[in-house]
Amino acid sequence: MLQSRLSHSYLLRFIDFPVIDEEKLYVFYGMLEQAKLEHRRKQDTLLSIMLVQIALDTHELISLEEIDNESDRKNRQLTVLAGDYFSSMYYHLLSKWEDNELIRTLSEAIQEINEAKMSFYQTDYSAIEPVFENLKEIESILVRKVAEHYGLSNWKSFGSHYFYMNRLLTERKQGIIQSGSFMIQKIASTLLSVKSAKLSTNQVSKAKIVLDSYIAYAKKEMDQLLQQHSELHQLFQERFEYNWGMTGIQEKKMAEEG
Amino acid sequence: MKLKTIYASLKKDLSFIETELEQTVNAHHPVLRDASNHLLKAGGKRIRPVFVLLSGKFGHYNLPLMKNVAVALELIHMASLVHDDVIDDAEMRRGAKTIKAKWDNRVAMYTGDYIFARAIELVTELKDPAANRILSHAILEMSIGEIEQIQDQFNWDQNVRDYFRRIKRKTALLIATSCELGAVAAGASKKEQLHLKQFGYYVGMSYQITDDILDYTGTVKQLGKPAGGDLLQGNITLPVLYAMNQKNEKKKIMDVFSDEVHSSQEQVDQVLSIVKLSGGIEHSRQISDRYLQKAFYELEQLPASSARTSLRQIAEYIGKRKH
Repeated sequence: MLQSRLSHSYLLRFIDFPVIDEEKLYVFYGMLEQAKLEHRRKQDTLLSIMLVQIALDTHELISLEEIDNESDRKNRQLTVLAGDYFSSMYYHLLSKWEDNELIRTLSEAIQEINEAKMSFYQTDYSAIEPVFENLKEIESILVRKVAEHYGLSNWKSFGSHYFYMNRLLTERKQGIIQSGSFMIQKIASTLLSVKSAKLSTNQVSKAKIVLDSYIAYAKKEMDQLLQQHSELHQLFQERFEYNWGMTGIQEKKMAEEG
Repeated sequence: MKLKTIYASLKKDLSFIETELEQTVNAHHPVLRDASNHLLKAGGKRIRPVFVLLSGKFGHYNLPLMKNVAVALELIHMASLVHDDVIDDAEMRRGAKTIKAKWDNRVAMYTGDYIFARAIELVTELKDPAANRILSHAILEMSIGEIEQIQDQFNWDQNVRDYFRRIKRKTALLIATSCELGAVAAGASKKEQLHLKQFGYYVGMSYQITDDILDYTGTVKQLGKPAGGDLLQGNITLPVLYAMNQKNEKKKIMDVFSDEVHSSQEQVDQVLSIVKLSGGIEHSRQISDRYLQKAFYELEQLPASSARTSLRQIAEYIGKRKH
């Protein structure tokens, strides 16, 4: 359903199909199940929340570099417009349900997320802790707002931790593929005072060690949360262990390094 | 008549709206705040808030309530401009650096998204659920119109119907929505809501056609850039579409743009003269005027008032404006 709503034939000739974060989809689905919405309304609400996330993620893809060829130029133009299109779709969908309150909640979340993103992007941190705190804030806002909206307090800290943990793992994966993601760059610029866009292998390794130590800590917190919430344990333990296993991280070794 | 003179009756209310605009985009993060204010200070015609306020005069005009709609509509327009500048890679707007030029693309994307969300939040203050339905429809159509504009760049097979559908989505719907929502917020009758919406639609069509004509006839001083900017980007508008419908002219124009990726000002100048000789400008003026006449007809269905007179004056200004 989500895929068919996202398809706009012309857009997809120039831009990649938007990435749907399955973990987020799974969490929001679980939350809305608990919120006990009528089936069709639940579907559209889930779609709207995911559209907000996808719109924000799509705009993250806009690069800073100068562009000198037609295909890249068109790709950038349509990426901007795709984000705007997804964003207008969430609003349109919820307005059909006359869900004024959720429209307000989501628009507040978008504002807060952009404030947090701007802070992450513009701040020259002097310590590493706030870098991770800021990242956690970016990942937490949407799920926290939705949880508050439906009075699902048990999902609030769980969702925040789960999204944060997944974001760290994604950053780690990207860091390995690209030898330095935006996060790795941020860690290097904060800890090692590296300002250049190109990092040496040694600098990337140092930044990865720091990232891994935060991943290890986040994993511990995640395990504790799953112990505390038996209903979520049932839903997520297996999934979480599977995703963790896929990363190939050796927990014991990491804990020693951290 | 100058726009400033027409706005005189609303001076106090518009000044209140201006203050509200500043307060509304008062973000916590200094860069987000500065970027939003930078665009506000660059000015603009504020035509959407004016249409909201004047349309509100046909119901129970209540400024504290009207302001939510007036501010929201201007912010939506602003947010779309911030993203448009990333799309067009534009350095200047309204004589000031664009946000993407003063900061960068990422700051522009965050600022546009922030302003857009802020605007939607304001509309949720209205009690009538129709307000969100009307606005969300307009915004969705607007974004499809923008996608179509990119799709139709250098597409020589498009026709006048494609053009009208595109400008309806791109410009006319948001102006129609400004008028309609002003009437909705003030609780005007359904009949009045409909006439005001239609008025806004026709004025919006005329406004965009005039804009497209000015791209051919305006001076650097009037436009703040050389004429033919639309053509340079491959945007095919009514004057050129008319020229292309004349015998042999389509081939001449297409020949000039055979290398569309590297179109130059020289090529644009050649097409400008073909379009002018074809009568494309005159024809477009006639079409723009026809839309204005339709707008006036809609106004005549509304009760006579100073608001109705002001709406007519603004529509006349739009049809004759030079920038």
